[in-house]
Amino acid sequence: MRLTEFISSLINEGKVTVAPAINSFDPEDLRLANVHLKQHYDDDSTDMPGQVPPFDPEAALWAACYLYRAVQFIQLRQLGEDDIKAHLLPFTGVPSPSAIYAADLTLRYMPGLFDLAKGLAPGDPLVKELEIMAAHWPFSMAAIPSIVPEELFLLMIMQHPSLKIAYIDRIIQAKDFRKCRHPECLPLVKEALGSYAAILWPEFEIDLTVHT
Amino acid sequence: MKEMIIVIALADLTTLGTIRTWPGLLVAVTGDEIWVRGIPPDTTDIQLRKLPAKHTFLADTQERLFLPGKQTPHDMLKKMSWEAIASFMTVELPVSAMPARSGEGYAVRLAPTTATAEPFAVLTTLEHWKAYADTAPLIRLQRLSFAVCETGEVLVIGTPVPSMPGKVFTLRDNILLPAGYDFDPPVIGQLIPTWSGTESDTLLLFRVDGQWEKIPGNVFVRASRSAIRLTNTF
Repeated sequence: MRLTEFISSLINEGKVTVAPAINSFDPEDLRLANVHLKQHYDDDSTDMPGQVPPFDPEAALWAACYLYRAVQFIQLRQLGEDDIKAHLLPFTGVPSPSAIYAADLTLRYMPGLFDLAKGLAPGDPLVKELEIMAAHWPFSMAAIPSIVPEELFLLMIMQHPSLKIAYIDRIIQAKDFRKCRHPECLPLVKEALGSYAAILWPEFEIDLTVHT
Repeated sequence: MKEMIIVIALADLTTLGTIRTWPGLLVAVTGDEIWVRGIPPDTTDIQLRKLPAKHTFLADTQERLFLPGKQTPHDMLKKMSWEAIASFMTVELPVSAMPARSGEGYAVRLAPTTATAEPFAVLTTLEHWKAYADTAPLIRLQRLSFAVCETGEVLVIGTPVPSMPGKVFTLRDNILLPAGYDFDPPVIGQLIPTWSGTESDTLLLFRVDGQWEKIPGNVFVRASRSAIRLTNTF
């Protein structure tokens, strides 16, 4: 399956298939993939709070390719650590709110991939690689309780008005006590729940009573 | 004798109603009198005797008129235009048989109340609703639904009711009442669901002045940032 079809199927149907071997992406395929990603950015931004950061095509394409490769490595278990390091490459662009949101268009599906990877040994090179990546993209990994965000990336999220609200939405949605109690997040979580914590998230109110 | 003839005053016309269905009766109007002929000569029916007859005659086949018990004729029957009594006197439905008119409609009134109730809805403008949704926490938006009318008014329902400029309403039996108000008298509230015959998902929104409107459940949309942003009125 080409990267374009992979993205289209992921966004529209929530399911994907990948090629049975690791081959380079065709330049035309990459170009079309970016068109799809930009369209998805336009659609998705209507559901984001406030004004979203500008589109970062480099980050969007990197994240789509990364997800594609990660799915391949989960399926093609004969591939070794060298292959993983050669093809699951970290983002080389400038980290920014634009990059965070553009990458999130596909990286937000990564928590589902982590569920698939649960069957792998904890020391598996693929799991390690995914965990390193996840710590650098906390906006997209809000639903994974075991991922501890890198402070630098978390601060970048909290400094952008739109990403900040969306991140708080996500960690409340995931009912992640640890992330919600982070000093940067706790005031915003309390503000979101207001005086209705007992209705909206009763366990959180109890938990705060215990820990504060 | 061939027949009996009676004469009554025109003013007593309605009294003939009691014998209107007798077969073969003919009537004629002359001056301020009504002549009735065709009555069997030996009739003693009570309905006939109760009529306010000015004169009673017996007539023979030559149309000579005899006073009762007299052997000599009193007069000759004049030429008159005779008509069957059934067509001369038409039937009118009695007024008393018609259904009574219903009374004037009851104007529903609302009055301030000291009873408290949790707010359930807010009536606001599309502008305020969009401004709220722009930065509202998702966990709050997810519990809300909204409906927009052409004038740009937005009814937002669900709890907690969002904090924004607008009129707040409480909910009871599918009736939205302005917060702080109740029906006057309150018992009216129990009658309205039956009276209005609304479907289970339809809301009745009352205003302070007693005006109300039906809002069907299918016009509400689940609140999401995109749904709110993409809503426009023309």
